[in-house]
Parts: sequence; structure tokens; C-alpha cells
Amino acid sequence: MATNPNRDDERLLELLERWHSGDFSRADEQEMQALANSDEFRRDAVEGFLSSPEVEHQAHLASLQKRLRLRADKARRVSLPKIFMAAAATLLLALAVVWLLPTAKESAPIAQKEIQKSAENTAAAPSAPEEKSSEEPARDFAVARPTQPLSGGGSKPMPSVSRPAEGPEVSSVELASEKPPPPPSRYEPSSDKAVVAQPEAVGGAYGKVIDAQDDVDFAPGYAAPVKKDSEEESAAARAKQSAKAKKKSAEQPSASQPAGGWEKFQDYLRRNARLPEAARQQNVSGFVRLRFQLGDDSQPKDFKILQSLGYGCDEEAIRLVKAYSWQRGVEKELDVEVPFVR
Amino acid sequence: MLRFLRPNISESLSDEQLLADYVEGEGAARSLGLLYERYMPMVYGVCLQILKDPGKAEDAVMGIYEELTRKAKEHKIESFRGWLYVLARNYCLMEWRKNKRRPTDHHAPEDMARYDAVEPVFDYELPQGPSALERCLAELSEQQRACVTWFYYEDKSYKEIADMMSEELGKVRSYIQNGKRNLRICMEGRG
Repeated sequence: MATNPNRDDERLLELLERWHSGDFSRADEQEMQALANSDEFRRDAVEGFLSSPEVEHQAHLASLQKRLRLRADKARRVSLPKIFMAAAATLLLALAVVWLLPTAKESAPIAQKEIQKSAENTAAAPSAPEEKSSEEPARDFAVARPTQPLSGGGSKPMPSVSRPAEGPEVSSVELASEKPPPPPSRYEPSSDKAVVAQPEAVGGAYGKVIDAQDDVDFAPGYAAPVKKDSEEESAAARAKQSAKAKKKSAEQPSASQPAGGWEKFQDYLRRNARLPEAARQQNVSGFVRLRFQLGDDSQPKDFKILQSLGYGCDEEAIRLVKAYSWQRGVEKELDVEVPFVR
Repeated sequence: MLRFLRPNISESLSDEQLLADYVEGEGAARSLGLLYERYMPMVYGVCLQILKDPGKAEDAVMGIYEELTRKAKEHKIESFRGWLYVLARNYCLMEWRKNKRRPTDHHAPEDMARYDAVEPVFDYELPQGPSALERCLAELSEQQRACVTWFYYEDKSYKEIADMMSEELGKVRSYIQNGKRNLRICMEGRG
């Protein structure tokens, strides 16, 4: 073809942008269709957009750009396939642990045994102190206490774990699915240190999340991708998980949710999320992800910005969430994505 | 005005140069990322066309990128754009087949007739007499008819129509799309 496909592609994307923003008339449509019909790649792409006329494609494209850049950056770091496989194996084992264990608190000693099992899988050799700690259930149980609050924040691993009673098991999941090289070394010292050291390790990996210590409540599963890609902390992957988790928490009985459900809330966001002036001038668009607590009165509070857009969007997102009514269910803590598009 | 993410053709390097840099040179992931970004909105569109759901389409775009990072080094790619198109389609078709569960998903995306990208039936003048087009217009829902009339016969933009109807832009697009489709089906039925 004489014409440069890339130039035509560029023109098509300009038109698609106008199609999306509304500055689009019949002549534009005619041109867009001509461009689509002249090339199969363009034709399929146009078909795709046209088949979802009500979706905020801008937001998805902005999110994709972020994800792509994050990914391209990550690829520069050395990939550690072995650690990845070990982490995946540990994660699977941890999953088995969670599934099989009863939900009673008395299972803490069992949790300790599971930690040892998983440590054995990933460590070179099980160390004697581990065995010792399993033979002293009372002591272990007492020592295990400090780890319980962690599960409040750290129960993120899987959405299905969002049940209030599984404190100790989840903390074992936490511990078990740490990166394999560090945990084994923590099991080597005395059993006291072994167990107490865990909170720090986990705390290091999950940072501020551990601060949510009040109850053994669970936020929707959040850090699963962080565990799977243990050498990466893809914020975008987490965004996907938190979106899925939002759905999951809505499916469970008495889950925390916006009044009227998530769909209505998303409609509300779509209708009301306005880009602040500064953001508009900077051509900003995308999502603000924030985490907040639901108080006893079901009022949102203690906001934490997980993914910021800047230029006043974060504040606007907080305002929108605060202005809405919420129902507090099982989870005290929620993650929400607020899309901002032009 | 917020931009779609257009390919940065103004940037100096060609597709082939970026690809070569990734495969042989030092630029590695960065070059491939830049190259992919050029096509990303179109890849997203293709994924949307097959998978329908924007969340799935997003994930597919990233999955295709992963495949690209491997295959770009394994294969000798002559024309990147054409090759990427095939890769994207195949990936999405596989995903679609994997997820196909509901009985309504019987028809493979490639089998479904393409209505939307085809030329419209209008010549931009409202039919005067009792014609098939006029009869078909009458069969549309009120909103579809209003939107179609304003867009095609009074040359209004989406934005203007949305303001006039106090409707959301997305809804207007939807009415026009569905209105067009219904008109075409109606016309073909009678034609």
C-alpha cells in the first residue's frame, strides 16, 4: 500500500478519541469507517470500540499504559525464575493450609506445624528449633498471639480468605508465602525468635497494611498477585485483584459495600467524578485507588491513597467516597477505584 | 482534551528499529515497550472485539505483551504490525475459547457478522415518501430514532445530542449504534 499504515492508524486513533469524547459527527464517522474498511487490524479495533459504546475506554487505556510501563521497567531487573517457582509452590501449599484448616482459634499450634512444613519445602533443611516449637503448643500459642493482629492487615492473600475467624491460619499463609530465601534463615535461631521474627518479616513486605490491627477483620483479598510475582509488586496487578476482590466481597453475605451495591456506586462515580481543573489542564486521566476504613457508624475514614493521580484527583476521590452511603459488613477495610476521565 | 494513547510516530525510531533493538541490542524491554505502546489502543480494540469485556481486554493486552517478549526473540518477524495483529487475534480467540461457558457464547467471534464498521445506509436526506427506510425508521425506539435523526440528518455531534437529550454520551453512542444496526437489519429484511 502506498499509504503509511501508521499514519492512518494515527488518524484512526484521533477519530476514536473524538468518538469517545463526543466531538464526533457523521463526517467523522464516515472517515473512521473508511479507515476501518481499508485495513483488517483497524477494522477489528474499531469494531471492538463500537461494540462497547458506553464503556470508559479512556480509563482502561490509561491504566494499560501504566501497566505497560511498569512491566517494561520490571523486565530490566534480573528475573529469578527459581525463586518464583518456589514462591508459587509455597503459595500453593499455603492455599492448601487455608482450605484444610478448621476455623477455630485452637488451630494455632497446627498453624505452627504448617509453617514448619512449608519452611521445610523451601528451606534446605528443617532446623531443630522448629520441631521443638511444635512440641510446646502452649508456648507456641502464646507466642503466636503477636502474629494475630497481623492477619488483620495481612490477610490479603486471597479473596476467599475473607472470613473473620481464620486469624492464625492466615497469618501462617502470610508467613509461608514469603520469599523462600529469607524465611528459612529465620527458622534457624531459637524457636522464640523464629516465631517472633515473622511479624517483622511480614511487616517489611506488607508495610503499612499491617497497621490495620484493630480487629481480626479482613480486607478483600488484595496481595495475591504480590505473592505470585514475588519479585514484583505490580500496582496494576493489585488493581485487578482489588477489583475482583470487590466483586467477591459483594457476593458473600453481609459483605461491606456501598449502599445499593457496587454497580450503583460505579454509576454514581461515573456521573459525578469530575476532573479538577489542574488535572484537566494536565490531560490527566486514569484511576485513583484508595483504601479506607468503615467505622462503626459505617462512615468512611482513615483514607490511604494506594494509587495517586495527583492534581487534586485524590482529594476529589476521597470526597466522592465520603459523600456516599456505605454498609459495613464483615470487612472493616475496603479498596476502591475511582476512574477519572475527560 | 484528553488523548487516547496514540502511537508516537513523531518519535524517530521505526517499528523495525525498535524491534531490532529489543532482539539484538541493548535497549531491551524499554524498546519493546515503546513499540507496543504504539499499537496498544488497536490491540485493545481487537481484544474488545473478541472478548467483549474491557477488563478481560485489558488483561489480554498485557498477556499479548508477555507473549511478544518471548516470541519476538524466537521468530524472525518481517512486518511487525501484521504479525502483531495475528498474534493478538490468536491470543484472544484462545482466551475466548477457554472462558466459553454460557450457552449464549456458542458463536465464535469470528463467525459473527460485522455490522458496525460497514457503511451506513443513509444518504443524509430524510426519505420523503413511504420508503423502506422511512418505515424502518418508524420502527426504532424513540431514543434511537431521535439520535439517528439528529446525527445523520441534522449533522449534530454526539456531544450536542447528549446535551439536547440530557443523556450520557455513552448512551447516545449506544442509541446510534443500535439504531443503525436495527435499521440495517430492517432494510435487509425488506430488501
